[in-house]
Formats: sequence, structure tokens, C-alpha cells
Amino acid sequence: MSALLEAVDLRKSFGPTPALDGAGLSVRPGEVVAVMGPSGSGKSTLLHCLAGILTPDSGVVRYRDVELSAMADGERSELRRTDFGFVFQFGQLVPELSCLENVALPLRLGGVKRKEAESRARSWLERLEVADVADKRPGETSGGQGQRVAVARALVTGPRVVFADEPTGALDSLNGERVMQLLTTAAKETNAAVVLVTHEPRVAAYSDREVVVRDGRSREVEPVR
Amino acid sequence: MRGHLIGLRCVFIGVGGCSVVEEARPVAGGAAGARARWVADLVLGVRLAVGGSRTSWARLALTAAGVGLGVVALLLAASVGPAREAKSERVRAAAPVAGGDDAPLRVRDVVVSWQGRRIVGVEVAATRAGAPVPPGVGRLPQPGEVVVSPELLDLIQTDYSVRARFPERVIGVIADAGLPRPKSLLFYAGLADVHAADATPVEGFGGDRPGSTLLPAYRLLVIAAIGALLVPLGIFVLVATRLGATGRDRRLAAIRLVGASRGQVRRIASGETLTGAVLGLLVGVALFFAARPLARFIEVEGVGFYPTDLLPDPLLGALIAVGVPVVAVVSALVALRTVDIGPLGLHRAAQTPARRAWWRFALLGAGAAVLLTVSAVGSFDEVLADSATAVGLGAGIGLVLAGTGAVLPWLVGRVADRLQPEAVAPMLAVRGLRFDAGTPRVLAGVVVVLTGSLTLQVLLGVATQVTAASELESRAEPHRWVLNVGEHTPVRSLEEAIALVGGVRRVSEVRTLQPRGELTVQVISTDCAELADRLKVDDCVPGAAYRTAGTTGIPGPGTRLAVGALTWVVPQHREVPGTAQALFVASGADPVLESVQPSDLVVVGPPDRGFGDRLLAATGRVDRAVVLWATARVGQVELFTSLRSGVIGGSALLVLLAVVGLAAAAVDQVWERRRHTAVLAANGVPRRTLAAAALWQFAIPTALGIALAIPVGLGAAWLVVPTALFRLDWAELGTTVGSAAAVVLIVALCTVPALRHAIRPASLRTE
Repeated sequence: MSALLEAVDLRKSFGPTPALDGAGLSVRPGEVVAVMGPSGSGKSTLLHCLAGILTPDSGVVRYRDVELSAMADGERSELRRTDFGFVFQFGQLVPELSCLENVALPLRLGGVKRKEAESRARSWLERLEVADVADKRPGETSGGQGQRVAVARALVTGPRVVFADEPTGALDSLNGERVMQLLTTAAKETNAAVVLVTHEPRVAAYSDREVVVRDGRSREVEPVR
Repeated sequence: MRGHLIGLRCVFIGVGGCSVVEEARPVAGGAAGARARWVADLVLGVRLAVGGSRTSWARLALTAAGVGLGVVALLLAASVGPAREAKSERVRAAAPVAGGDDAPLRVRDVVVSWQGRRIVGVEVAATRAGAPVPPGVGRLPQPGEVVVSPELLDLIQTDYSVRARFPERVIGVIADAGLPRPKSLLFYAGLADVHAADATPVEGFGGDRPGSTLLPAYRLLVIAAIGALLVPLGIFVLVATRLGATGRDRRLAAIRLVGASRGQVRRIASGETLTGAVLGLLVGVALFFAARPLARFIEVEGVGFYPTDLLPDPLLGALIAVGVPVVAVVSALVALRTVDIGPLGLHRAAQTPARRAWWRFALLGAGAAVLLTVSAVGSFDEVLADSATAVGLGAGIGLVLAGTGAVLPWLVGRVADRLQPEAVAPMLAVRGLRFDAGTPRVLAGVVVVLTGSLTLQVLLGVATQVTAASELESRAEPHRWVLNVGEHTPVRSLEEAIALVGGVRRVSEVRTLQPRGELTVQVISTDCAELADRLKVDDCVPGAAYRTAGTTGIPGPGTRLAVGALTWVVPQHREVPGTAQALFVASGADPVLESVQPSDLVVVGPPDRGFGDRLLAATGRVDRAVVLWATARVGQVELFTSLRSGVIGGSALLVLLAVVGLAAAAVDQVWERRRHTAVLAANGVPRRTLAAAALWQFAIPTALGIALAIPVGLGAAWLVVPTALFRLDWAELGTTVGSAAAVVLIVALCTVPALRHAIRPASLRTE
């Protein structure tokens, strides 16, 4: 199967500090790929480059054969809204909006009518077992509930790729396990690929394969099962 | 992109896979769709502004209060023109129109002084039936009757000494239409027959508009005050709309992450900012109209308006209604351009965006250049006679102040980059200042107020010098009270009345012959006591004559001159030192001079104002048209007092606004940084150190601001004021600077409770 998302020889520095030094990665549809590595190895930078959030200094990121760096900012924004979903360590939810509104937000930004957007958001909250917090604001939920809301928001547009950066980093093991189960199950069912940045082998165990990033370079390893 | 990236999607997933397949993202197309998206983005911004949480409501309330107060001040400023216009219109409507001998009215202007206040009146008599009446007056008073303003009626009813000056029967109260301001002391009295000869014929009321009587120094003060007060006002309105900006940037970053484009983020930010600005505008308008009726009861040093006068100029009102939201949105968008919100927010930026310096100094430079040009164009007085140049002067001061406000955040950033403090608290403060634009921004407003205050202080000093000179001139010899006497005033009765006033040591009649024919200087005839006082001569006897050194145009002794129907012979005279250009003749020996009606009575008595009041009360019983010469000059002093009160009142309002803005911004900053602060507290940084860091974070920009305000404020004044008049009152300067520093320190201390609240462990758990 051809790659849905592919990065080749990525280099990226922040000032004098190199973050990526020739990293590469390829993701197939419906596949869960864990990107592992110690802190400061460049795994989050790799994820941000893959998602088009950061532009690499050199190297290429292709999504469905289209080079992300050639896209205008507006096109990349649209891509994030329609084809990509994001789950970060701290859910990046908007504190002023209720959980339901947060999940409906990408749909609303895409022009979907409020009623329809909220109806679809509610069904995702139900799927992720957090329908009871729909009308609460993120600050009023527990960490695990907030992360599940973030997963719902990532999946509500039916993305082809979900980027998850330490999605369980702020959760206890029980909640972390549950979030990973829900995320990977929902992704498999919708045939969405998941790029999962983590340094926890227990979380990486949910992936189909693992890539290790060290000193800005990536290396594929056999899955630990 | 959309065309080849989006296809059919599985949306609802059952156990066996997709249960519903549909087009995932229906998007409205065309112009209507684009409009709907615009509206939806704006509405989302509004939704974020009224988020429902305590924090967002508090932020919205702070913004609305800050903008609201600013709007009240702006509306007040926009009402000054129309209010003055309305007042001038009423003054004009009441001004008598001169007429011929057959005019229906005879009027005589009179002034009564009471405890240093001028009570202005008109004595009026109709020459035929159907004569016009002044505005606000039901019917013309007859001799022995008086119509008074409400404030004067109150005084008459409550104060015996005032009642004594108005023995007439009060037949009515002047309505609002006939009064310049609610607390005007004004009356119309019936003209007694004995004074009819002094009255002038009048056709009616509604004469020419009174011209501007502002001295150049006062005009300068007014122009500078407008510039100095409006610029910080603008800054505070801007600051209020930027409250919670850091949190807003984070929210927008989160929204960018889920796919909002830059354009959408701008529209969302606009919607959010617009909500606060529009709410603030509504609050401001409501407060303004709610407080307007109070205007009737407020008069500060002779400045007062009717509530109905305070209606903003329609153009300026529209400008405020449109300008405040637009300025708020534009400032939010400009700020967004600077920070360039990305999906990761601001945290990934390797370097903070550089603060460009050139435009800040360009503003300062442009202001200084304008002031220099204006000063170079002509002299102090000439410049101010030209309204275009005056506008330039105001603009110059405005530019200098705006430049000062713009330079401070840059200066703070530069200093914070270089400082390497050893102690933890200042180190935390300095690091905070590198990334904290909020505190320097709001302090910039305070510094602009301080800069403007320093400039105004120097200008007030100049105006004080001018006023003091005027007052000094009028009361060079405070024990001598000069009464101007009318052509038909019964002098004998007047002298009898004056003799009854306690403390009178001497009354001298002064007769003045106007130059005519060969005689080109005045002839002043008075008694020897007065001549001894004026000319310091000790050989005066009745009939003695003196001329001051250098006086020319006096014909030789024995020259016969016509004085009215009589012939006067120029007496022998000798030269004495002095500056008054006149021929002085001692009275008591020349029947021709004795036949002339005195023009002044010089009364020697105690130098206190109470004596002047008693003197006028006594003369008023004979003839209210007798004017105390010093009282005439009081008008100019009163005008200055009004102007000074206006400037001080405006500054006080601005200081209030500064304190509210500063407090709001300070609490906002603490709230925005609560997570970082809580993390520090959780890591064992003592509360005292955190509180000290918060104070340092205020103290450093304040010190820099003061260091900037002093040279800029005084420099601007130095450019404006003629060098000869430039004076510095160091004590006043120290008080102003000290007060500014104290205000900032007090506000900083007030944030400590908020800080204490912020460092609770619960603050760590925020989404």
C-alpha cells in the first residue's frame, strides 16, 4: 500500500539548536505509528513537521503526494480542519467553550451548521463515553475526560490522520489506557492513521509499528508486542 | 486542496464498520456562503468573549469598565464644544442690542461684588409699552423690583449680607434660557430714575456673540491640555481592549490547531474584541447620560453647564461610536500580526519578535519637530493668534506624548534583555518583562499622563505668572481702593455712604480732564493727600501743580484752554520724578476743575477683601454702577482659575482612569500568569519572593517611565514656552513624580491578594 503521509530527510533547527537532522517517516492509511525517543530527541518536532504546523528547513513532507511546504498557509489550515486531527498532552481545548462546542468547533470552522455540528459532536462524545460532560467547560472536567473530549474533537471531522503528542502524558495509567483504547479503536474503525508521539512503551504498544527518534534522526524498530 | 483531498467518509461507526456514509463536510458555497462563514467566525469570537466562566465574565467586565470610563471621558470632551456653544448662545441671546434715542429700553450694566464673587446685573427700564424682555424673564422689573437667578435667590434667602445688597422686591427667577450656567449669579433690576441718565438706549436682546477673551498664555494652556489629556485617554481605551490578550492568543492558537485559517483567526479575534469594545461603548454612553443630570449641581470654580448642554457634537459622537470599536479591532489585529498566532501558539518561537524602535522615536521626533517649527514661526503671542499654528502646537504635543507611550515598551524590553540581576525576585521580574507586553503597555499610559502633567505644570506656571502680574498690577498698593464713578453718580451721597464703612481712613476725589486741543496729556486733579501718595511730594498745597519727568505736550503756564463751556488756565507747575504721563493739580483752589464730575474715588482703608466687599455694599445702596477697579481685574483671575480647574479636573479624571486601567491590567496579568506562578509556588519559591517579583515587575518599567517622562515632559514645555517665562517648580515636580510612583506602587500592592489567590495549587489544574 502506498504511503498516505511521507517525510524524507527532514532538517529543522530552532536558532542554533538542531531538532531534526535527516529524520524521515512514512505512514500508511489506517496504520498506527508510534514515534518514540527520549526528551529533546526531536519527536514532537517531527510530528509538527508531518502535520504541516512547522515547516522544515529542508527535506520534504508529502501528504497524498502533495508537498505540504508548497501549500499556502490557508491550504494547510484547511488540511488540519478536514484531513488531520490532533490530540496533545494538554488537550488544547478552548476553555471558554463547553466540551460539546469544543468538539463541534472544527466542523463549525468548516461551515457546518451549528445544529448539525453539535449533533455529530454529541455522538462522538457518546462514543468516547463522555456525553455527560458535554455542557461542561474543560476546566470543570477531569484530566481523563478532557483528553477524551480532545480525542472526540480530533475524530469528529473524520480525519485521515490523527496526530497525538503524548496524549496520555498527563493521565494516570488507568485513564491513559482507556484513552488509548478509544483512540486507536475509533481510528481503526474510521481507517484513520495515527501518528503517536510517546516515550512510554505501554502506550507505544497500541501501535502497529514504532519509529525511534534520537538526536534528530529516525530509525524503524520492530514492534514490541 | 479540498477537491482532491476530500471524498466520501465513514461518519458513524458500528461494530461491523460504517453504518452511515455521507459527504463529511457540507460547505456553503458562493458569496452567501462566504458571508455566512464571516458571520459565523465573528459569532464564535463573541461566544469566546462571553464564555460564561467567571474568568471570561470578569475579563469582559474589566474591558467594558475600562472602555466605558474612556468613552465617558471622550463623550465629555466631545460635549465641551457644543456646551460652550450653547452657553455662548444664551449669553448672546441676553446681550443688549444698542439702539437709537427712540429705543424701547434703557439699560445699565452693574456689578456687585460679594466675598470676591462677581454678581453681574442689568438695570433696565422700558420707555414704552411692549418693550422686549430679556430671555428667561417673565416681565421687566420696575424700580424697586428685581428678577434674580436661582443661585442668587438662594444666596439672598440664606445670607444676610447678600440680602442687604438687594433691598428690592424679588418678583421672579430667571429661567435657564436666560442664564449662562446653572449657578450663574445674575439679576435684572428696575432702573431708578436717578440713574436714567447713565443708561444706554437698547432695541432689545440678542446681540453679537461675545468674542474670545483668552490671553495667549491661557490659549496655549487649553491647546496643550487638549493634547495632553486626549492622548493618554486613547491609550487607556486601547489598553482596556487588550485586557486578557495573552489568554486570547492561546485560545486562538488552539483554534488554529483545529484548522482555522489566519483570516478566520483574525475574524474570531475581531468578534471577541468587538464584544468588549461595543459593551464598553454602551456602558460609557449609559454612564454618560445617567450622570448628565448631575451637571446642574456641579460647578467647579465658575465652570458649569446645564445637562442639556452636554450633548456630544454629532460628528465627534459618531466618530467615538465608530472609532472605539474600530480602534479596538485594529489594535487587536495589529497585535495578532506581531505575534503571528500559529497552531502551536507562541511557545515554539525561538526568539520573541523584535520590537521595532524607529517608528516610536519617529513619533517623538515628529512631535519635537512640529513644536520647534511652531516656535520658530513667530513669537509666543503671534503663534497663538493663528489658529492653524495653534492646532499644530496641539498636534505636536500629542505626537510627543504618543511617542513617549510608544517608546516605553521598547525601552523596557531593551533594559530587560540586558539586566542580569543576582537576586531571585528581580530575576523573575526581568525574565517576565521580556515576554510581558501588558505591564509596560498599561504603564505607558501612566507615563503619558505623567509626561503631559509635567508639560502642563510648566504651562500652568507660565499662566500663573501672567495672572499674578495682572493681579499685582491691579493691587500694587492693596490699601488703596479705587472706585470708578459714573458720569451721573451722586458723588456726595456716595462719599456719605463710604464714610459709614468701618476702617475708611481717607476718601479722595480724582478728576480727569481728557486731552483736547493743545493739551495732549491728561490733567488729573485730586487732593494733596492723594498727590503725596502718588508723587511722593511734601510741598503740596491747594492749587499746586506737578508734571512728571519726561512728560511732554503740556502748554506753558497761563495758556487758556476750554473745559466744557468754561475756560481753564494752565497753572505754574514743577517737575517731579515719576512715570505717569500727566499734569497733576492739587484740588481746592481751581473752581473750573472743581466743576468737573469726579471719575474715581480713592478710598484708603484696610487691604483685606472684606473691606472691598463692605465698600461695594455701601456704594451699591447709592449706585450699583460704581465699580471697584480691582474687581474688574478679578474677571481675568477667575478665568484663569476656571481654566486651571478644568485642566486639574481633566487630569484627575485621567488619573482615575489610569488607576482603574492599571489595576485592571495588573490583575489581568496576575490571572494570565497564574499557572506559571502556581508552578513556581509548587516548586518551593516562597510567596514573599513571588510578591517581590510582582512588585519588581512594576517597579522597573515605572522607574524607566519616570526617567523618560521627566526629560520629555519638560523638554516639550521648554520648546513651547518662551525662555524668559520658563520656570521649574522643583517641589511641585517632585510631588507629581512621587505621586505617579506612589499610584503605581499602590496598584502593584493591590495585586498581592490576586497573586495569593493565583498561587493556590488549584491554579495548576487549568485547561
